[in-house]
Amino acid sequence: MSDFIVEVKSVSKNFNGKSVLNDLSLNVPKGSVFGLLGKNGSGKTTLIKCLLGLLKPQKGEVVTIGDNPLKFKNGTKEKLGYVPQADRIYPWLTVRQAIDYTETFYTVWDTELVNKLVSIWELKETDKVGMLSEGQVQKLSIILSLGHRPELLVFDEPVASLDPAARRQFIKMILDLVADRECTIFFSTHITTDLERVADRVALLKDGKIDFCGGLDELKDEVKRLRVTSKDPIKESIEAEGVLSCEILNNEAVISVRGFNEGMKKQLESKFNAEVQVENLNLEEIFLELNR
Amino acid sequence: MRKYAQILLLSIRNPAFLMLSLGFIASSVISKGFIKMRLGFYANEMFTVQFVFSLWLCFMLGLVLKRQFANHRASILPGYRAPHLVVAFLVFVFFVIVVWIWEIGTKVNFEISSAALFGVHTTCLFMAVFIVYLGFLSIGAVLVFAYLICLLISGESFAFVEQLSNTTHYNIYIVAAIISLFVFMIIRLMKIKEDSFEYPFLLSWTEKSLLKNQLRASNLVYSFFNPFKHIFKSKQKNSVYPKYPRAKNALIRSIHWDINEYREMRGTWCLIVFGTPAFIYFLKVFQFGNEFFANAYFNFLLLSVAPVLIALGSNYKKMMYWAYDSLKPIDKRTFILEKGFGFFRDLILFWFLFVVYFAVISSAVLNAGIMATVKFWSYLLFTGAYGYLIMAWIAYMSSCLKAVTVIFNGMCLCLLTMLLMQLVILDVLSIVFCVFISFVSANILIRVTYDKYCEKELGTMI
Repeated sequence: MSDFIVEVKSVSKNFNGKSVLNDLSLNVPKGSVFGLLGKNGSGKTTLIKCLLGLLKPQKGEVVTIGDNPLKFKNGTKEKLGYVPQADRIYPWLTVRQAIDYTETFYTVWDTELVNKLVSIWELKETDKVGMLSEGQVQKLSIILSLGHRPELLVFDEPVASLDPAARRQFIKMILDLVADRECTIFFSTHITTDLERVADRVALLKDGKIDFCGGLDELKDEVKRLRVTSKDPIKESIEAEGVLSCEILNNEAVISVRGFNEGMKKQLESKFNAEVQVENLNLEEIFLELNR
Repeated sequence: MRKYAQILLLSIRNPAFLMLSLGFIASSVISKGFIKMRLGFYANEMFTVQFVFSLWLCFMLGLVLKRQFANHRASILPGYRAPHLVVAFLVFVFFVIVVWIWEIGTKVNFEISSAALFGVHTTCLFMAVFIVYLGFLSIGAVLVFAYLICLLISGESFAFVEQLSNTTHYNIYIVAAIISLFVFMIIRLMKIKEDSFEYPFLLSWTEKSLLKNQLRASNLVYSFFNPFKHIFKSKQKNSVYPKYPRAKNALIRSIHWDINEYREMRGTWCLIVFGTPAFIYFLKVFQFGNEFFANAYFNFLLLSVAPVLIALGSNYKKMMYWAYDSLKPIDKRTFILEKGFGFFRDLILFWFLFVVYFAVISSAVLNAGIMATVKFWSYLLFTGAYGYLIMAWIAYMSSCLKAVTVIFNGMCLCLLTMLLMQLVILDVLSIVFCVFISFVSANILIRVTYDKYCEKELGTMI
């Protein structure tokens, strides 16, 4: 039995000759909260759809909950929940009718959880889905994905349309879910602060490949900002393996590095006869540096 | 069972589907009433009404089916696909049974041939399949054909049913083809994914997906016309969007807003132009619908109403962009004027095509004598004038805020149209007078509507 709930091996996907995913490999451990970060158009949604069998990769293999996504068994689908970027639930149904309709497809349904979320998020059961705002539809979509208590929850930018209060509630709900039972959460987002709050593992998608995959702390240890203050003006740009960016102003240089270690610091200190301060970066800054 | 009930409720809760179903059942009940009143002829006519309802019910069923499958839920929810297809088929079977029971119940007075019944049901089945595949909202040009076929068959339902009754041999091949297409559709819907070739033709929801799938569907269709692309290759070396022609007149400026659509429709024009010989051959060789094509006077609805519906269908979805477009550096009154021109320009185009194919060419082939009469040409002119009036009246109704006003005007328009279907009994002078009245009334409505739209909050149209 694999420790990974999702295994992606050398997956490639292109659209009309344009490569979106390029020999991408990724493993998502069971019970983790896994965040996927990437620029617009980097392939996050494509990757998610490949994981769920909504798209078929040209090359490679995907195993989700031990099953082939293109031929999911009903038992596997019972363990899966998905919230797309912009869901469109039948507009002529009411909120309650949409919930009842979705419920009938699952053998297990947590009515108490669903009713609690409907109440917390102030959705009126008699309102037609077509009359709800985008944020409300997103909330309903999240509720519908949680009702059957899935083992794997996949969210594609779930909080993009939510107001700050709803986002907080959503984050809290995820933390509760993970704490209560072994539920793996896989989500893509642009809001790095939310990712920092909940994710224990992060993958960065760049140029169709996974640029980094590991623990959030591991990423923060790897990418640092170094402030080099020399006695003399720094004349040349600092170029070395692992340097992501370098800005020089007279005798001060600010460089971002990847794969930071103490040896790097000592090397800079001796080369420039300088004092080097190491600064930690938050996830947003790391993302910006890695995508320069 | 609960799952099937919920899926069934999904269709029933759709307002359009519910109203059509009630109309269908009501026509069966009314028919019984006619028999009791010893009005057998009218009871017989109810079969035609039922057929029209069945056709549009299948149209709606196809639309609902598309929404159910052009959806990630088809791949993610367990046990999703088969039950939805089963329920859709059972709904179809239910209405077939209703018609069958009706037919048995009215058998005392008259008899509908089994060939006619079977032909009608398979035609309805075909409509559902057709709608599933021919992308409602995917490609504007293809939408034209979807509505056109439904309108044509609805408008000539009586002749269609009679034809089916008389040509059993012809039915067998058509029915076999439709059933095969239906089975093929079922097989594909059980497997369809987002990157399946026909997915772009299914209804898409979010604006981004809609635009993306429109492009994909357009590319698929127009790559088929690749040889003809070289003939119509753009003279511009780059694909820069042309500059807004400020100096030109309003009609030319109105084309600018729709210039991409007109480029895309080149494939459709090729189809129409190169299909003309086939159409003429079809008219000469096959007797199907002879009365329908030979006598333009019986096609009043087709020549006046159908172009309006198609022009509206081609343009209405662009209205959601009016709010954004109006933010461009253009005077609002000018903007409304140019947008309005777009509707009427398309109306003229579609009316012209309908008249050429369903009046001029068909009469020239089947009933050339009629074309020598002044009445024929004045009648054709009137269909254009009345189409203009219908469009103006619908535009006026769209600018009204009160539902009661809209309903009242809608009823008046329907009543007038029904009266004018008897136009064939009028002489030339009366027809010309009707042309004049139509133009004057339309112009008055247009003026009122234009002023109302200039004051309207365009943001409410999003």
